[in-house]
Amino acid sequence: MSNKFIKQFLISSGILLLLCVLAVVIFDPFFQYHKPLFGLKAVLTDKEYQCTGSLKTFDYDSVIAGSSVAENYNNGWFDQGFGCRSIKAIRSYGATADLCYLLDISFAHQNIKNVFYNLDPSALVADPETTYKMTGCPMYLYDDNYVNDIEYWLNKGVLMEKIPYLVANSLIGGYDENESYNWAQWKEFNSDMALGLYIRKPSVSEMKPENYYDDVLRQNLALLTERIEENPDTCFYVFIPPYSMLWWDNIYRDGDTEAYLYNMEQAMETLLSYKNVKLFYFQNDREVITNLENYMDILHFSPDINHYICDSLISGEHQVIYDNYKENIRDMRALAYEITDKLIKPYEDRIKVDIYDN
Amino acid sequence: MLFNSYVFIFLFLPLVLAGWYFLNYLKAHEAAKFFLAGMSLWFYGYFNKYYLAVIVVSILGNYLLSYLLKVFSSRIFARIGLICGLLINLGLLFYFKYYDFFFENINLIFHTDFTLKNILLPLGISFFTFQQLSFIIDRCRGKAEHYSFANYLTFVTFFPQLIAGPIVLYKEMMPQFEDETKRRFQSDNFAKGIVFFTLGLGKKVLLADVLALPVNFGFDHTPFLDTPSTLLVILAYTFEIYFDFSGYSDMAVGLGKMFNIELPVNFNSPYKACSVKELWQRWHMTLSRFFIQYVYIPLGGSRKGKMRTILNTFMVFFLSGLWHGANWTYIAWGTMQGLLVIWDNLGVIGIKGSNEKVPARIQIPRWLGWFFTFSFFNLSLFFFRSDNMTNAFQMFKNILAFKNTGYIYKVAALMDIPEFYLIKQVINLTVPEMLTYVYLAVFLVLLAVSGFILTRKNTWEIVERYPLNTKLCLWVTVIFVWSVISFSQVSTFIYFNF
Repeated sequence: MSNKFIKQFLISSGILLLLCVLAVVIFDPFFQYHKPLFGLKAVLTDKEYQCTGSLKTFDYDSVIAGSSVAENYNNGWFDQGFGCRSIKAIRSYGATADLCYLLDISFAHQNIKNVFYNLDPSALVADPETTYKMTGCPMYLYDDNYVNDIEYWLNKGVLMEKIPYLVANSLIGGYDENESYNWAQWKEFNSDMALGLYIRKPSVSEMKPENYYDDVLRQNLALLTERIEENPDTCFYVFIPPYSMLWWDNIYRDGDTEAYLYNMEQAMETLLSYKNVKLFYFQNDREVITNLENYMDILHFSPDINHYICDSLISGEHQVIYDNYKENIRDMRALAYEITDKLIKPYEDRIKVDIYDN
Repeated sequence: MLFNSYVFIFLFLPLVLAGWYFLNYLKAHEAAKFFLAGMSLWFYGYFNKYYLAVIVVSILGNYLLSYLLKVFSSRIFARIGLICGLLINLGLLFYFKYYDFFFENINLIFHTDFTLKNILLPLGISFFTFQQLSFIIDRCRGKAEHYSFANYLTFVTFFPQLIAGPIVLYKEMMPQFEDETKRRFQSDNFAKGIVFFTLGLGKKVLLADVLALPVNFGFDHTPFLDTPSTLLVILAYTFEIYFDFSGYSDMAVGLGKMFNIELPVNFNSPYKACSVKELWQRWHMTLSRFFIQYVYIPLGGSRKGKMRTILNTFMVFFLSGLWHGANWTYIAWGTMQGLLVIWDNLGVIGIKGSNEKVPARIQIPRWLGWFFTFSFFNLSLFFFRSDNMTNAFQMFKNILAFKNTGYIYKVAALMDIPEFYLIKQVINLTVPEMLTYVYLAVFLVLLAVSGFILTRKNTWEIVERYPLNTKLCLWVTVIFVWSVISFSQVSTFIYFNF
């Protein structure tokens, strides 16, 4: 009796677990092993879980790398404009080390023609070490160790949520594969939202010296330039996105304005020394950054701005060259102080004050 | 290493079972014990190697003392040995568990400036310390013999009970490790072990871990909770703590059975108790047994008059509270339990139909006794679960505020579990405004299911009474597979603020 019980238990459990593994490997909603099968779509909505897999297994020749502000690009804009097949490599916060990690996966698996690299100012002062483990990312998807993939194979969330989600979006949801990781559809972009989410410090910190972040800046630039040097046949379209004037007001109050401008100037100087880099600067686009109707908070802009950026990359508008990068920074400095001295004033009564600031 | 992990179930357990039975099959019994102990130490040090140093030092220190007691077998040395044993074990426990708590309070009371050490608490230190303490005390009393190092090592490190009990005594374990009949694979025990382990696993993973979602949220937001949400959160915690702890104990018992080692009962349907005294006869029974044998009886038990009995009982529960953690909340919790047990012992109120030697003056029906006991235990858990006394009192305030702000919907929203995903999507597509009510319904159903399970047979009764047939196997398989796929889940990453 007990022998039979043990055998029955081992066999039935084994079969059920094997079925679970098979379901995950066949449907592979995180695309760790293959591209979508059976006519299913590449439903990409969980970047922490799907970026690495899609970069390993999909066919593409261009990468759109960036932080959450890069999520609302439509891949089709780039595909049509540059005659390429693009994929997104997204990491929240857009730290250089994290994005370089994703780029390394791309370079290891595909011949990359173009990298469209969204360079956030915060990425230049971010930790030069990857943050995936620290932030609780599923590390079993970030290595080539198949043994720890058991966390993927026998995973209730994958079996009960992600596979049904993949199937439903492929068959009935009308999911647009070009809108990978797009979140704009759930958000509103207007001045009420942007101002409502800005908690302003009443105090203004002393301005930090311009080379305050020099050490970490050098390390981050080294990470990026290493990839640029190692891939001379790849064209890097590096672009600095337009954050709203609220962001400039915020960094002014933190005493960061001069340091961030210096960082950007140093980054431009370094990147422009490479032949395979094309640099685009949108921060000083007065029309965009002073119009708070474009934003949902101090830095996340609407998909219209994403489209505008992409069009500019195609047309060459906003491109910065070695001869004019300092002029761009000069313009930005003037605009930054105009914001804090004048342009922000009409909005002050709609901005919340940080009561915990001391 | 956790029982509820892939590495334990798919790697460690098959390896240790295979190695143990293979070495015993080869008649290499001593090697088998060292193998088992070595694997247990791997199990113990899996997350932190520093833990290993602590347990090894503790084992070597106690074994050396036992050896010295064998060499110098005089009464005086036994007394010195007892003092040394208490100092070694309680000193170690004090240093790792209570140092910061003690000096924090000293600093507070005397305005001193002792530096706190923020020491990392070694896993299960309270368990293996008490286990060894019982052995050393009995060695000094001349009640226990000196055992071989292999036996002693196996007794202390035996992985099923190493981290969270049950607290075993040498006298129930040593003979089993010596018993040659237990070294052969016995399918009956093994099958029962599977049932025990799986039911425990289900309690832990499918019930306790899910109940923990609203509970953790609730205790992280104590000032915001209203009366209904506070009541439901504490009820959920009452269920969670039982399923978590008794589930772990069931798993331990099941694993023991796989090795033909019988571990003691630790929980016997405590929430069926009709008095706090009875609850403590059913809850964490091996801890109560330890305190009775090594604290209550040596202090005189009930032999030295009513006042001493009351004091001794109080002492046991005070120490029990302190044993659970270095925080005033645990002490308050233990004290509350002690006071209620003392009250029960006074025999003012009794349960109709109970077999008390001296019938209580007031007899109440069983259901009323159960209601008072269960309600009291629920309320006492405010102290047990809260990070500090302020939060615990805040929870009481929340109840007495008699306010309904609708916060229960926020708490219930934590029930966004994968099992519910498809239903959630259907509701989202059809009547999205109903989703919050559905979450609440799911939460209430989970509480109702938990309550229902508690009224049924417990794991011991199921294993003893149900035949090992295909029907039971089917249930066990479903629970096992469902639990295993619940070890890993997909998290939601909330970002947006760069």
